[in-house]
Amino acid sequence: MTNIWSFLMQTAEVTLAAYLLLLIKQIFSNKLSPRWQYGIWVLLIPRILLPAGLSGKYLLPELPIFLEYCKTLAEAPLSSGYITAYTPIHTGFVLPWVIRAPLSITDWLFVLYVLGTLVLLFKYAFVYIRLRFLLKKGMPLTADQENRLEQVCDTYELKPCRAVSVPGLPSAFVCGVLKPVLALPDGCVTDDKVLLHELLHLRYHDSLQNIFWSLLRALNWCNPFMNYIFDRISSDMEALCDQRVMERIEGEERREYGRILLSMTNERYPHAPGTTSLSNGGKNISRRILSIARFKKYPKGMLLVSVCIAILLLPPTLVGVAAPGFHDMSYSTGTGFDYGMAMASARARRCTTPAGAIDTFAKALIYDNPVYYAAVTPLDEMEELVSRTDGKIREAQLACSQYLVYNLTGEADGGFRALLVLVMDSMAPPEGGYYYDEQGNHVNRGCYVYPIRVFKENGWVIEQTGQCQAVTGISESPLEYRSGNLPCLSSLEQMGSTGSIRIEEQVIAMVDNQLANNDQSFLFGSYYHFDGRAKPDAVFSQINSAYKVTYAFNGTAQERRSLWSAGIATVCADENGLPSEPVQLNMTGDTGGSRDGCTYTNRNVDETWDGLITDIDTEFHYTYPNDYDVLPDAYAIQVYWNGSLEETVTLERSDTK
Amino acid sequence: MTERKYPGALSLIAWGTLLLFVNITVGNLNLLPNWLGYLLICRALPAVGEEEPEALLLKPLCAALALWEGLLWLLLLFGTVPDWPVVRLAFSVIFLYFDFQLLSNLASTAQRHGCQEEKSLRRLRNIRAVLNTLLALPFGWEMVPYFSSVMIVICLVAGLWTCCVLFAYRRSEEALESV
Repeated sequence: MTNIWSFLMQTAEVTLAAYLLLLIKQIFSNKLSPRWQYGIWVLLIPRILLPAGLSGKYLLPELPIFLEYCKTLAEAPLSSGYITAYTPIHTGFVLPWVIRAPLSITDWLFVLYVLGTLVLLFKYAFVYIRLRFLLKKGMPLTADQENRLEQVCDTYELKPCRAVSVPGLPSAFVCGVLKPVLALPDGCVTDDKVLLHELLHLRYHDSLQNIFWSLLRALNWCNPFMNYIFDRISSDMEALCDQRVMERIEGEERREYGRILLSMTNERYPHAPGTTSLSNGGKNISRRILSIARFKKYPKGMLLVSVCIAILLLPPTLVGVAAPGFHDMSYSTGTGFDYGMAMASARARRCTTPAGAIDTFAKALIYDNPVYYAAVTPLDEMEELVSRTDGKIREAQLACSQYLVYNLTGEADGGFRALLVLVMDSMAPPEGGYYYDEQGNHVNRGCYVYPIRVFKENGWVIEQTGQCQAVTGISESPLEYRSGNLPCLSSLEQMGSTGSIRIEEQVIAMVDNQLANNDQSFLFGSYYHFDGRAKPDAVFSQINSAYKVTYAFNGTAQERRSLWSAGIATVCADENGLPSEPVQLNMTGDTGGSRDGCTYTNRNVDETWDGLITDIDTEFHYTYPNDYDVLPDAYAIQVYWNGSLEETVTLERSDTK
Repeated sequence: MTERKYPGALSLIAWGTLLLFVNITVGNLNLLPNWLGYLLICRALPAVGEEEPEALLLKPLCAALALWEGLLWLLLLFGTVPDWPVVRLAFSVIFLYFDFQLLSNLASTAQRHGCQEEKSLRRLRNIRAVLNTLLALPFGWEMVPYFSSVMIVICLVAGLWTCCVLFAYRRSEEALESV
């Protein structure tokens, strides 16, 4: 944690987890034993030690959004050295760390918190050391005390430790972990049950647990609710020790034990890390008396369900229950708080996948939605985005009901480049007017192409790397299959003995945005419309690899005259490579299709033939998780003259131009 | 001789469990609502408490579960499915404990009365605890191939088995009474 907001996020999540556990404990206070009541606090430990939002989820999904909004409001006029107004709150490491001198009031608040933590830790250390010095001056036990202690150890099979008698002590306690010391009040007889209580603390290393809880308390020292929680934990630890005592004594001794506790309600008690004491304050003792009174009334045989309950509570306390969602402002003209919360939601809810970032960016473009823009904007461009959108919710919307991702290519830094293609239902130049084709006809169909780079920066973000281009006209094939109007990803070339081969490749990725409208499906059947809600966690539902093979005849004039049909067959390498034997095809007449894992095109040749044969195909890949490497490593192009296989040309990935 | 209320209570519990297990839904209306099942069980608890005092601890939990199911039933009737994950979790925990302890109490009573269903009740109790825990964990089990189908079958079998054992136990207690 390097700023006050990270600390607030962390302590808020811990508080919610603690509150949930407290609520569940309250429900089962008279049903599950003190063993469970104390043991369940173990679930809080990983919550305190792990950063909030590690999994992207929170116990209260609105909490990070609200904190992000407050942070932006507070930091915008300040010049913090620890965080900027538009950098999303990120907890990171849970230990607080001052990275530089404080510059703003929020920086000073964080420094104050860190100092408070250090002061508390020093205080713990000081109190413990002072107690040890006090115990060093303690007197040896009297013979009677020694005998009683030995007798208790023998009766209950407990290991003794060094014991001293100290004048002025209100009650017995154990101090220390590596070299524990049992301190007894001088001048009065310590009851055997009190000795038993302290020896049980020793046996179950409660002093060490005490130190551990104290360290966790120091991390949350300024949170009053967490201070209360740690007091409860301490009390539950004592109640568990009482339980262990009650399990070892019988009948009247149990009542005696309760009376001893009652007599301690008004007494002072030593309270320091590394120590345990029978007495821990009047209010806590009252609670412990109630537990003792219920000793035999807790239902028996509850071990399995106790464990199951703990297992059920672990995921939400550890990783939260839901990720924050976008505050969708698509159809609202809200300003002020609504706008601030919406933009905060975009910063708090980053895209977790490349497909999610592209989907969110596409919908930002389609609906001109500043919240979606903010979700995929790099941090250094955030301030400019906020000032550009100026608190207004745009209502402009492109006439687009589909987008495609062309030529998705991985980069060395783990990012991707691609062409985002918005398939338009109608389009017009921004300055007004119409688009025209080469023949001068008015066209309103086509697509807008945005070159983009997708990279990871606190989630996946998008950078537009070039100008948007309008590509007009209708493609000869559905754009999901391939497009002759759009650039290819790569091309391979090879010269054979009968002609040259050129292969142009494209990759087309899609996110499933078909939303079924089943309201009246029993009458009219289901129909689908475009899901305009951003999907920050999307994966590509389908990635198509398309190729266009062009064969250019370069034989002799005599060979040309002897031809009445020419064709090519394309075989793609699979995970086993190319087949060792050529595929046998009967190539006569005008044919085209696919068989035996290859596609082929054959045509009749006459004097008008331009010497070119083209074979086109698209392969569909439904991969989860997304495998972006879908192009074949090699192709084998079989050339047929007059129905006979003339040659096979192999093109491999190294032939890429 | 005062008539024992316990066999009657077992009837209520058996029918209540059947209502929890079986749902017949027409549109948004569940004709066999779960809240009715919990009310039946709630009514049976005082009689069970006469045999096993621990069972009375379950009354507030049963009432809470009935209220919760009633609320869900109403909301569903109006076409709303609430998304309150933390509240759902709390009631999953309550149900887990409630189911476990109720069957434990019934098994203890059966053991004391020498009924043969005692072992089945304890086995059922443990299996249901593990099943309920697995189903309530938020691990996206539906993504695991065939998991949903397998779990539906297991839950069907467990539900039927529970009803059969409870009705059989009721018959045993009635037979005991007539002796």
